[in-house]
Amino acid sequence: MSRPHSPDFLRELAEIVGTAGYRVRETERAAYRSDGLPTHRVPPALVILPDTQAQVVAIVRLLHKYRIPFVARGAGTGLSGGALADDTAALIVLTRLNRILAIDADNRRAQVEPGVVNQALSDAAAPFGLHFAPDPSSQVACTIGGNVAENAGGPHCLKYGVTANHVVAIDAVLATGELVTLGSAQGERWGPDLVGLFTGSEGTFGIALAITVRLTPLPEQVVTLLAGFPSIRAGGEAVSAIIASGIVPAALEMMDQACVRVVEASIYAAGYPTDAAAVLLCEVDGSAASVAEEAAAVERLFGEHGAAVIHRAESDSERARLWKGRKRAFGAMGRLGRDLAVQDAVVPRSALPDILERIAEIRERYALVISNVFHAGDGNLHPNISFDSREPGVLERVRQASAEIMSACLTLGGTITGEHGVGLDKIAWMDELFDGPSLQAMCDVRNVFDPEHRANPNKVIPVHACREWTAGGAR
Amino acid sequence: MSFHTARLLRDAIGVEGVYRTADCTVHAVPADREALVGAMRVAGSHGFFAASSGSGSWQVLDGPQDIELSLRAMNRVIDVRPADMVMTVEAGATIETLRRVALDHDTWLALDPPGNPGRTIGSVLATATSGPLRHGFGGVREQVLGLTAVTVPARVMHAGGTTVKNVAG
Repeated sequence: MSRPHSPDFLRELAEIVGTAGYRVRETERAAYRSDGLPTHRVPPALVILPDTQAQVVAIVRLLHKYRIPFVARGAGTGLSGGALADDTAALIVLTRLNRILAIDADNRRAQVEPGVVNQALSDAAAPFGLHFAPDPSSQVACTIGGNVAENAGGPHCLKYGVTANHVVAIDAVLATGELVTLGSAQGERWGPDLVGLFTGSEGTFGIALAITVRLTPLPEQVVTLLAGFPSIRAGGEAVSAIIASGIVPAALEMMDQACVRVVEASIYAAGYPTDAAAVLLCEVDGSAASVAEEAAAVERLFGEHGAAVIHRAESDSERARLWKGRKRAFGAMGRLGRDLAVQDAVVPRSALPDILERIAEIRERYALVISNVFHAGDGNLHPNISFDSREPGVLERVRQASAEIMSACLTLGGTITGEHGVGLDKIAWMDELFDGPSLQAMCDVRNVFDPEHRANPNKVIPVHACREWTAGGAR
Repeated sequence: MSFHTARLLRDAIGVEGVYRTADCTVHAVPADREALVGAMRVAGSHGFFAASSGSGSWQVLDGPQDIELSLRAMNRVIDVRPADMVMTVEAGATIETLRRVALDHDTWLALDPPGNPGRTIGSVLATATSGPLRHGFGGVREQVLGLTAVTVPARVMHAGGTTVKNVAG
């Protein structure tokens, strides 16, 4: 294995991307030392900024020749430390591969390069009455390549499904430099579901060069409802009642009082009731007739569960404002502390009230500021810990509180990540969640795509689970 | 050869579930997970080809095989959580059973695979046979949250879980 800064390697790299296509200076590399999660920081040995798919292929083949590990990165908005490279690895930044290659409106498909920003695809599809349904809160910045790597979700995934449900084909370069096409743009799935396997593999198989996704029609009508509840439990029970009634809202989001107050104090103020213990944001969409019926039913259920405030957005601009407050809540939390650990965990929906009470108790015990904003409809929590990393010992407290929250979620039958991925941050939890044979099976699958473990090394799967790797065979 | 295979399997999972068919394949019908794992251990340690089947109504097993493992006796409904709209069943449970249990809880199974309603959910998963509902509700993969599987040689592994969203591993 060579070092990413060896002169021979850099000379060959310059033949591919030019000397302007990579960064070796410390100050330049420092910009890439973390993603959206400030609890992990490590500068990459080298940053490569290709412009074209052909360059990416040539780079991966060159890295293969020198046996250098690499990490693919999109916009760096990830929240699991997944897009970090250490001093042995090259970081391949894909933001310049931002071309929308095709929009096939008749068949509701689009083909994009991995660096296309999520929102940019929906904007480009809008004239055809279509959009790309997965909508992470970071959608104005995050890339579709990153969405594929993490199998990203978002508020509207409750009704429309997560990224994996919208990817139909992937052209990729594997760590060995081989080119593969997985899935097909139109065809029925047959044989092993390799697209499903690649989506959510967190960059450990290779790099997607072109991604074919499903586009979804924009709904005929949308109604956004806001409700304020006197307790978290009442809000949680309203969520269960809505789902049990058979309505599948397009989105069903909850914010606790800490979150609501910080949003209302910020430039993203949306008009949420600051005296409520929990605020629910519910969106129903579809045909005009079904939306009218479902919106009325949701309002009735809100009332039956003790909502003190029930409000229906009266215009598109008000709808947009209500959503902006929710999606920018993480930004607004900057007011609570200079650092923010956005957590991600899941419990069965019916366990929501219980887990929120547990989180409140953990918050008290560790004397931390924790605000909750999450996808209530599918039980996907985001307890967010605001802190100041300059304060001595605080990082350890944040880690311990996070660990207790994860542990509580597992006890309630949940899991450690719903949409942010395992990356570096959750890798220690994989042993809790999976037994040896299951981890070994994951290693075996990974070995098929990346036998030398050079694509995003030391992420997702705990190394010690891979018998042949720890035995020293692969490296 | 097949007598030997049958004997080994009978030792592993009991006399009840093992018999030899006219074409010299050994047919085994494990009653529970333990028996299934035992049968896979026999297949793995002796290098037997093993193929799985369900109720036998859909796919013809035409590859070379020493053992046909039918999951049809493993047909229990293990857990139903109506509030979470999640059901856990054994692989041999029939589509008919899943539909009935779902309906008992005012829910339904958004899968309409072709074939006999007596075919097993395991066969639907193995062959990813979704029906017309796939257009609106997604295919088989979209309806499955987690599973436990046994591979040769007798390795029991888990994937996914019981929550709607899950990207761990």
